[in-house]
Amino acid sequence: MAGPLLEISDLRLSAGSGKGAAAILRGIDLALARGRILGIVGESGSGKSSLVNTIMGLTPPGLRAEGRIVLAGEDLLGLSPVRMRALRGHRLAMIFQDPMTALNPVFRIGTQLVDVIRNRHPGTVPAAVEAMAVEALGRVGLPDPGRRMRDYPGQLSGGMRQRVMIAMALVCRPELLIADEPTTALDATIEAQIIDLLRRLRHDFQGSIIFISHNLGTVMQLCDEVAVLYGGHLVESGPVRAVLRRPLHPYTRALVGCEIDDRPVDAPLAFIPGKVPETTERPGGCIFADRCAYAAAPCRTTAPRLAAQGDDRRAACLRLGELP
Amino acid sequence: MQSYPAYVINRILTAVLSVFGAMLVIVILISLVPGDPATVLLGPLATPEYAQHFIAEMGLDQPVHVRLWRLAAGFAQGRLGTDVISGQSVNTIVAAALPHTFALAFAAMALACLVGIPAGVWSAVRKGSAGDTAIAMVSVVFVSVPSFILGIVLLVVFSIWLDWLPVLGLSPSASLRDAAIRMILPTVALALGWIGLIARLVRTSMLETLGQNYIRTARAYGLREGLVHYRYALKNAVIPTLAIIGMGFGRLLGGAVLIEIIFARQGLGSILYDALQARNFSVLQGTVFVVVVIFIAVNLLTELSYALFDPRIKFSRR
Ligand SMILES: Nc1ncnc2c1ncn2[C@@H]1O[C@H](COP(=O)(O)OP(=O)(O)O)[C@@H](O)[C@H]1O
Ligand SMILES: [Mg+2]
Repeated sequence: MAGPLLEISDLRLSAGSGKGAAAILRGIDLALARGRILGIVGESGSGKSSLVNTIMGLTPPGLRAEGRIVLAGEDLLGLSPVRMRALRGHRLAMIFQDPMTALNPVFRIGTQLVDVIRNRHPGTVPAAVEAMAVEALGRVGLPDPGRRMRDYPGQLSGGMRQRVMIAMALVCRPELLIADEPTTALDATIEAQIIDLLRRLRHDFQGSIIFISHNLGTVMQLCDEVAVLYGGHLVESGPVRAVLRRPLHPYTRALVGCEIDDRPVDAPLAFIPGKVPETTERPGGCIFADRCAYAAAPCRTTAPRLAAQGDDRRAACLRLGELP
Repeated sequence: MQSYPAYVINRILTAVLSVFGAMLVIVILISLVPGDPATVLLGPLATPEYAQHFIAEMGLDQPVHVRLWRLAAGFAQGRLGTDVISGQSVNTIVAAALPHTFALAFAAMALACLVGIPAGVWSAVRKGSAGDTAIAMVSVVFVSVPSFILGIVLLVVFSIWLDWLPVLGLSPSASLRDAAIRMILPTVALALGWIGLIARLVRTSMLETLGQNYIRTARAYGLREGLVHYRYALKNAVIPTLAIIGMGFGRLLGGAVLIEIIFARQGLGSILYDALQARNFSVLQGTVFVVVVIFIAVNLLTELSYALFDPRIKFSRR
């Protein structure tokens, strides 16, 4: 099929109304082609999880999503809860940040995996389901997968649990796999192993991936493209190398810390003075103006639009042409 | 960390100690009960010699430690004593009553779980709906009104006004069907409070569980809501209530005893009631001992099975 797998336009996510209303996503435009890996970066609270939860249809009750999220020609926001549920675990799958709590502590991992497979491939005979589960656990590098099936999550380490989550996602053969900071809760060596696993799995996995991470080095290694989120806005996007090597937007520059030449790109997000805007703030101009080193008078009154910069890059900044 | 066998041994020793402690309390309490049993039982006209003989027969002339020792020795051999009035073995008396009390308690607990658990899940899933509010209000009434009052109300409404169900008792010759019909009101009276309690506990526990990350995972993989609620969430939600239900079983037996008295049913209740009325301590201490042992045994089983049921309670593996 031609066209992108996922196309998001003017996606807004808000809570409440009136003065205390929270704007969590403030009009996101984003496209993801088939088979590509998109990294999403941004400080905590910039709306990364909210974005992917909205794609999954897993936003908590009380939040309002407007705009369009088109997956292979179908607008997800227009779907009934039943249709949406039918997409999850089939065409959409997700890996979560905290592997310690993402698996049900009182069911064996085999049971949890088998339930997901049975939902994904209804009518498969039990023996085949079991075999698929064992095979998937083996594929993600769990030693002795047959026996591990009988373990409870509490008997596995964090890294092993995250492997189980990845196995769960893989057996669904989703068109879109979402990983929300899958390694943030793990220590560095385990993180490296999980990233390595994802890189290897990439080759036989046909679908697209959205990968949220705090670690720009990881994004650089794993992703094809990157989108930078700030205060519910998408401020910059483009090919991962280009964006992270030569960021355009002042926020991306600050993130990468490119002003300081010797900062390794593998470092966690750099510290930027000031803090992420509250969801209740409604600045008239650029959302980043308060913290921006390059902000000028118009930045405080005019909101910049996300505009194409060359063939494949986009950035939302009024002063792009004037920046050093 | 303890291994499971070590944990089991530890709990069993604690339970045995508790039984022993309870016996001590029984003996001391009996020695403190006002009213000379000989006078109460034999009437004021009994000769002092006969009263003396009677007291000696019951062992009441001995100091507490001797009585405790005799009692313990007898109980340890499975002898609950002899009813000084009828001459029957207390074992026989208790054995005849026990099945009735157990049947009532188990039926009530089964009914309470059968109704209370789904009601709790249903309320949690439809939090804030009219149904949830209704269940909450009914639960509060059930929990706060003592079961013997509920029993009397049921008795008046269903047996006397509506005349749907037989008034009282359990005739010894009754058919199974008749026995079952006569079980209905006492069971319901005993269960209502537990239905309310279990519904509240399960609701609270379900709401907490439904907010957990693993529930989000189940949803993220498209599992049906029924499966998410009644399988993935319920097992987590029920574990904390399980302990309370188990611990409550002792209280349930206590409630059963009262209900038995109200509905004039055979059972431990009527035995205890009669024995207490008559200051018949030989029967009283044997029966109370049995109740205590059941209570402690149920709690022990609850703890042990709880530890097995919840894989989060970890024991070191060899
Ligand atoms: N259910 C909600 N109601 C109101 N505000 C929310 C809700 N969920 C998240 N937010 C707010 O939205 C913002 C973005 O959160 P999140 O998507 O978790 O960011 P990130 O994943 O980038 O750290 C935060 O300010 C957070 O407080
Ligand atoms: Mg997040």
